[in-house]
Amino acid sequence: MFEHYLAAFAAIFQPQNLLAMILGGLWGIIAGALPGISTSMGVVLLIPFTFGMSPLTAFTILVSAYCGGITGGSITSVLFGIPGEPSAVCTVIEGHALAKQGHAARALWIFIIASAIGGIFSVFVMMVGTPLIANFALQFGPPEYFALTLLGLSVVSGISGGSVLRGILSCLFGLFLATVGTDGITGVERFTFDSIILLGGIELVPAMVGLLAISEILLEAEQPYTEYKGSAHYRGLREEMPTLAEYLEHWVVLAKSCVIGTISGALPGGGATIASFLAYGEAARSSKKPDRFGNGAVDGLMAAEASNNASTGGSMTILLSLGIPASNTTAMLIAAFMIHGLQPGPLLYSQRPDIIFGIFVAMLVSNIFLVALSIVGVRMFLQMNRLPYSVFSAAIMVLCVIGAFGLRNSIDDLYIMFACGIIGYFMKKLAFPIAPAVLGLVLGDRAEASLRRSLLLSLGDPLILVSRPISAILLFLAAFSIIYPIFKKSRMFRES
Amino acid sequence: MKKGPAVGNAVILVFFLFMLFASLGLHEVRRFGEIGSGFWPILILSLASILSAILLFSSLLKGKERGEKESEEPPSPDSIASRRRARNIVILSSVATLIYIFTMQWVGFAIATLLYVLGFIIILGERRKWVLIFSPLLVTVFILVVFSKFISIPFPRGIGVFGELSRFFF
Repeated sequence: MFEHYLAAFAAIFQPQNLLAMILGGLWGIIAGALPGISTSMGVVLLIPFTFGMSPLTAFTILVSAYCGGITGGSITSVLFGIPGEPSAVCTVIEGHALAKQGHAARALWIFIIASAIGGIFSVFVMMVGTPLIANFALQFGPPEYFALTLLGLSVVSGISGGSVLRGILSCLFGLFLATVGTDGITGVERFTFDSIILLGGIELVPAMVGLLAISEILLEAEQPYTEYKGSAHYRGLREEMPTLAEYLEHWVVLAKSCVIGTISGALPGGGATIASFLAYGEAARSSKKPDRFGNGAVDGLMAAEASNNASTGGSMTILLSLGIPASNTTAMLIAAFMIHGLQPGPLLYSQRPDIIFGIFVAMLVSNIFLVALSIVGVRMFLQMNRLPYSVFSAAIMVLCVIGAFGLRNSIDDLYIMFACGIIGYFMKKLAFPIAPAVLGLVLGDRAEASLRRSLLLSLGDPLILVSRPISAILLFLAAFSIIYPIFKKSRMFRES
Repeated sequence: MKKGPAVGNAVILVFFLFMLFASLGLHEVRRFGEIGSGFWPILILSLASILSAILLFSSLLKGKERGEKESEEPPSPDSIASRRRARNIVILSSVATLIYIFTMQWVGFAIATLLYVLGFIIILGERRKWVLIFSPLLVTVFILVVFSKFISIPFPRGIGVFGELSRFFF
């Protein structure tokens, strides 16, 4: 294992990978910081540009963008009171309150360092946890993989936002989209309606770019744009650098938040948003001065930031060891793995240790780099804010077109992107969450193939899915993961 | 009662039912011992049809309840105008994007992008002359330099005179 780490460090410190890390981190910060572009959208927009790269460079840029996105989401939260990411809502409460009191730079320092601590902690957990879980998962056969994929799909209740029913429908739509094209087993055309464009199926990248990005731009275009109105007093980062003693004073909060964030990130349906709320709530509950919460509590800000960054390592552990996404962004990363001819999961760990250990090291180094990149990001964002919104929107639209075109250099993919964009727009108008559709599209093929293989093994007997212990447990967990939030919601509804 | 969500949910139900009907023919396409091509789509689409029927039913029910509670106040002229404006922007943006994609192979990426960026920012309401003149140029040049020169994406050059023109740039 030691030699794998040495090789990974040597590879990551190659100039092209360091450059990829810096560019990915910066792009992630911008994507995370700008309202309207989420971390997952930032990662999706990057995927097409990784085609020509080696897999390690591609994943270096993508995981750096992932970590950068979670960190960047807090820049606008602190400076302007606008959460760039849903996971930065708690940061708005405390960080922007500090900024309004004239301590924007202090709030920025606190979130940058707490983010780095959370991110680095979770990478260490990932390094230890991934091989253990992956070795266990080597015992899996088709029924276990089907159950695992269902567990992956069960995150739908966590990423559905308001309505679980709409989330499930959105996920089923994604699963349906994954069936379009030629069936890999029988060679039959499904739902192509004699269209050559659909014969090869719906490509992930154009569909994701359309559903996530194009739909969002159309939706944003509807509203007359209001300029950011920051009431923060930004006095420069050097003047307000906190001391080490301030971090040490809150080390318990930091440690608890790191653990909460990592666990929450690893749970299907958890992710950065839930992590930050849980850790923030716990910090408020255990605080000696709970009345400061909402008025610029340093420990509240630290808790929110350490936990949402710690969720990245938790999500990546589950992605790399089991091949299932625990968050929106890791669902997008599965697509990136597939595009590079790799299948995340236990076999990847034994077959391509260079990629797995490379990702570990890339995440570790990029979390350290993010301290410096965030400072650059703050300065850059203060400048970027002057760019007219219309131009920014048009540039993003052209980037979407390039992203979808770059996959196969095919105009047909642009039509798929456009159609998915329009579908995504109407889905958003009707309050259907988009992330479950993407999840269904990403996992659909795998779910179908493993189910059909399982039934082939059992000569059509569906009991094979519940007669094997691991598969039965995973199916139970999947059912629990879907039903529990519905049950909890209906109980809350009855109580209110 | 607001008809929008109910109509939307009805369209979704019809879509899933139509696809379910289309998938029924796939059911028997299989070799001996295999699970047919239609098994999985039928499973998904049946579930989707049932759930979308529930959604439609609940939206009709909610709409009715809301309709009974709310007084029938007509929307103000301002809100009608702003809704119409928003709808026009979305329609125009979508049409512009479709034209951009369609014409790209004929007029080439560079010219199509230049015109698209100009059109898109006008649709979004940009009227400042310096933005209208410089931003399409800057965006197009930046994108061509980064993606054509450095990343070597083979963008469409267009045909005839447009193809010759594109060769000057990439």
